[in-house]
Amino acid sequence: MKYTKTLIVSSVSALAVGAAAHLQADDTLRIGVIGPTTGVFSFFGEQQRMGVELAQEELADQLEALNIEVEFYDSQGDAETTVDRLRAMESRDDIDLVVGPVLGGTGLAGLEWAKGSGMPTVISYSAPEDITMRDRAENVVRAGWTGAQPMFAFGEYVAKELGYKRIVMVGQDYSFPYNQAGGFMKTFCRAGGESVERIWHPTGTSDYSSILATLPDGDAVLYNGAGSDGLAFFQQYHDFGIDARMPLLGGSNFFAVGNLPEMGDQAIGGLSALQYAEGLESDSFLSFRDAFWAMHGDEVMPLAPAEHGYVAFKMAVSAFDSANGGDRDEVIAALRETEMPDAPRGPFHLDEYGNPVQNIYINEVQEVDGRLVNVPIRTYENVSQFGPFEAEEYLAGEPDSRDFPPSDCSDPYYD
Amino acid sequence: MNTLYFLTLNGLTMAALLFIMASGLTLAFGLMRVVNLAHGAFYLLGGYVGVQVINDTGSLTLGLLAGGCIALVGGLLMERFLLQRVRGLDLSEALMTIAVGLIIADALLVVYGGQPVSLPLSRELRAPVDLGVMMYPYFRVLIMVFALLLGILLWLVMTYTRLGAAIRAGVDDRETAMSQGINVPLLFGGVFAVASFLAGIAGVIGTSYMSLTQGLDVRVLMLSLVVIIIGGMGSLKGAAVGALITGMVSSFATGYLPQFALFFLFLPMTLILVFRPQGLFGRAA
Amino acid sequence: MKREHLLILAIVAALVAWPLLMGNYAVAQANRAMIYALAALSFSLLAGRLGWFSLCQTTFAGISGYTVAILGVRYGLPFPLVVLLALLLTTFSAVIFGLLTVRSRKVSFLMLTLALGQMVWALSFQWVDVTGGYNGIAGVRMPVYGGVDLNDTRIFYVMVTTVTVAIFLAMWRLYRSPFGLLLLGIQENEQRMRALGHPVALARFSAFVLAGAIAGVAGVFLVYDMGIMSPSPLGLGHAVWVLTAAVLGGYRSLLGPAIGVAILITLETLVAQYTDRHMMVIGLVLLLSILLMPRGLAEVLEQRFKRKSKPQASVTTTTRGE
Repeated sequence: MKYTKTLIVSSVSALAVGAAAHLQADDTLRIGVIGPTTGVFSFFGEQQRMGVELAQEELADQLEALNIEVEFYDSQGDAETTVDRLRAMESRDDIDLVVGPVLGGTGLAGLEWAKGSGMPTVISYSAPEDITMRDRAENVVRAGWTGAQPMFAFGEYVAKELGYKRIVMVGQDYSFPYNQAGGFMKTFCRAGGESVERIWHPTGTSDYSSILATLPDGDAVLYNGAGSDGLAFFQQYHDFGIDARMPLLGGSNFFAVGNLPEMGDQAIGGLSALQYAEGLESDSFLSFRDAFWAMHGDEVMPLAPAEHGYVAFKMAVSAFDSANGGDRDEVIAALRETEMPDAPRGPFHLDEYGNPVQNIYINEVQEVDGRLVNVPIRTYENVSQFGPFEAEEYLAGEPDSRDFPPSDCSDPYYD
Repeated sequence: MNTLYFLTLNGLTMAALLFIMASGLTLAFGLMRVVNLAHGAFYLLGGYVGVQVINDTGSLTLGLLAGGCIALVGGLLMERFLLQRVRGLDLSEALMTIAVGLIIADALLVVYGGQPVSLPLSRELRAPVDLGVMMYPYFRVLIMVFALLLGILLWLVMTYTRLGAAIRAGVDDRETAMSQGINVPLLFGGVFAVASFLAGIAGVIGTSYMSLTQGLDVRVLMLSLVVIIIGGMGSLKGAAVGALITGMVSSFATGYLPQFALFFLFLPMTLILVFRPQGLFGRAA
Repeated sequence: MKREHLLILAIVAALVAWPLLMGNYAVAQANRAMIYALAALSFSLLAGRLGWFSLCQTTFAGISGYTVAILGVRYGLPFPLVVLLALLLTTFSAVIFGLLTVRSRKVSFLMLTLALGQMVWALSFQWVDVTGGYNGIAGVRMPVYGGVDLNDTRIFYVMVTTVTVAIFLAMWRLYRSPFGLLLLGIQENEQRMRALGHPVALARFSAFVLAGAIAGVAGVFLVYDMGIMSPSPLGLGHAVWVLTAAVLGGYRSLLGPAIGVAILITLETLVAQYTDRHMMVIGLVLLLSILLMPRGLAEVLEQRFKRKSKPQASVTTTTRGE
């Protein structure tokens, strides 16, 4: 009998706890921010959190007036954990709007969940293009980018301005780099390029010496990846002196998300493209950066994930503001109308699919005040997620994959 | 032809690093049937601390020693205060090393953050030297030389010293060795400490070309396990041969079929398991 | 009525009451807990009966999950067929893994399962054309039958609970069956069992395949619960998580793994409010369980409650390695 007793006691107490958790008063609006604050990708989650905290401070009065509270959740960079936290937000913590997730895989998991739940969601740094393309959902918008978006500009720049004809691209073998390659090749090949040879390696490869040993010849090498893989590739590329033979270009995250101090002076002159640059000199950027430093200390450089978190949070608050409360449909409608004339990265608005139409900067690594930063040397304005293409035409085409688009620029596909 | 030399040298570099990792692991296993699944975490620990010391002092030697020593201290503490409590329950010991590995890796994440780290080497060390057949970065040559010297040293110790004889006796038959007055637990503590030291050093050495990052601990541990499964658990010779096979397969597979590199890496192990489960130089159970 | 029957009734009553009384999130948590309880049961079948500690049971769950995702989303096969094929394929891979590992013992078994599990994990990362690589395969949904959406948290709960309870009951029978006793016997003294003419290798192999199939069931529910299949459930972290739950709860008893999972999930939810260091928490829980209660919580509780009942057949799983 004791078992039964224990069980009854424990289930009653569990019930009480559960009920207590459910009895939150409800004219408060709650924003849930989710990102990987632990694990391998904690850098991204930490940056986002710092960006959101800055926005919170700046909007303190408005948050109070609208009665908005903010909760932070750790996705651990893991799809399953992300879904679990999102469920907790909706049915335990009574969250009204989600900011995040940050990474590619967690973004797709978040989208999948958001479709079922209808929760207004502002995806921040997560870049799979189908989030705002083939799998788009009315209640999901994005404050960031698609993988191909900055590369449309970069492909054109590399072909036209640098005059390179043949590119060797070494990249991490998964969909984000495929998408970056796709964006690059679609403009590069149409702007005078001849070929892009792709070499894919498994994510998490740490020894590139053998890939470098069999590297084909070209006008330049583009490393299409980032993180520890990118740093190791960069290091070994220079160890074997290949930089003397072919210059090294970067995918969007290569120089942009925190590896520069580790790369050192050899990175100077490195080119890549992104919708953000920490070397911007516009007033809106400088005030963002100075406020960020005042809050978090100036040894931390605000990078794109921080700005995207900051902007995503501001989008959320202004949607609540113009919807005048928590009505879901009105909030979603307001989100989709977002215009950000003075975002730190530069002005942007959302296209009808919910992705920013924004500036893309061609960035060069330079040393400024004793630290390495990405300084924009060329700006392409109003680039959408479809680049130079019509939305319908782009969506009707084949999605980017490991070997699409074709390597050879004379392929009829590019006509 | 040049490519062939290049790939071979790359394979040798990798084999060298793997041997440094696997030699201690396999000896400790042979002696006490304890597999240290925190070995990868010690690699990470040694690497982070070593790189920090090198950044602070500018001395590579100090960094290597610091990396090795911190892992040694970690290994000793774990052996004294945790493993000895469950001595003899070999599965509990293995599970305990998993737990310690998790804790160390997470603690390192708190201290050093999630961003990858690289080792600042001087220009002279990075510069290529002429090996007769091709130019190859100097520090990579040094890694190979170091592993070779380590292998020779371990072999000499194992073959010609009383200590080595005692270890061999312990590996062959622990009960008999103990009855002959050999203090196997003490010996084990020593071997375990040396193994941890080598893992820490490997962490610093490996960071000279592979960036150090969270998650690398598991990958390095995996590779070390593959090496000793191929070579035979407990066999030093096996560790050397296993490291060579794994290094070469990895290098050539990455060179010619990078997409399937990992698959090829596990292929020799699977074949060994099917045809010779005790490993190339292991004794049948 | 026997004490055991009372216990079963009480558990079933609690499982029926839970969705009626609790909010959506608590029900979703219970779903997850039961899925992981199945995975931990799969682990415990090997660890508790045979003294075989496997780090690849979550791998079987992953293989099953990927099969569901690939066949269901990519090829659009009907739901019952998808589930059937997933279980078949998982069982088949358990057969292969079983053949590779059946000759190894104790620590080398642990290492082998670790290596094999990580190999599949690496494959799930790399075989992008099939698995979708790092991003995985999204959009895994259960169908809607006659207006009933099987994806609904509470309806999903009914399915998971039914299957989980059924499997636990079956294991309850199996643990007492001659086969279950044979496994214990093998663990205690393999030579004697062989001398008595029992098919030792076959019994061991069958247990491994059975455990794989149970993990396969967990995998089917896992993927439908998440809606997306990515490599992370195959990673070492998940394998260690399941192992920790089983060790904490007590892998020798039937309910131990379920208790361990429930505690671990509760603990994680509580701890998440104070700290991000969840890996460290898992590590500490594992460490403390081994140090303080090597036989697991279930047996600690059992000894509390059972004063006069006959002592359990003593099982020494981990003798000195040889």
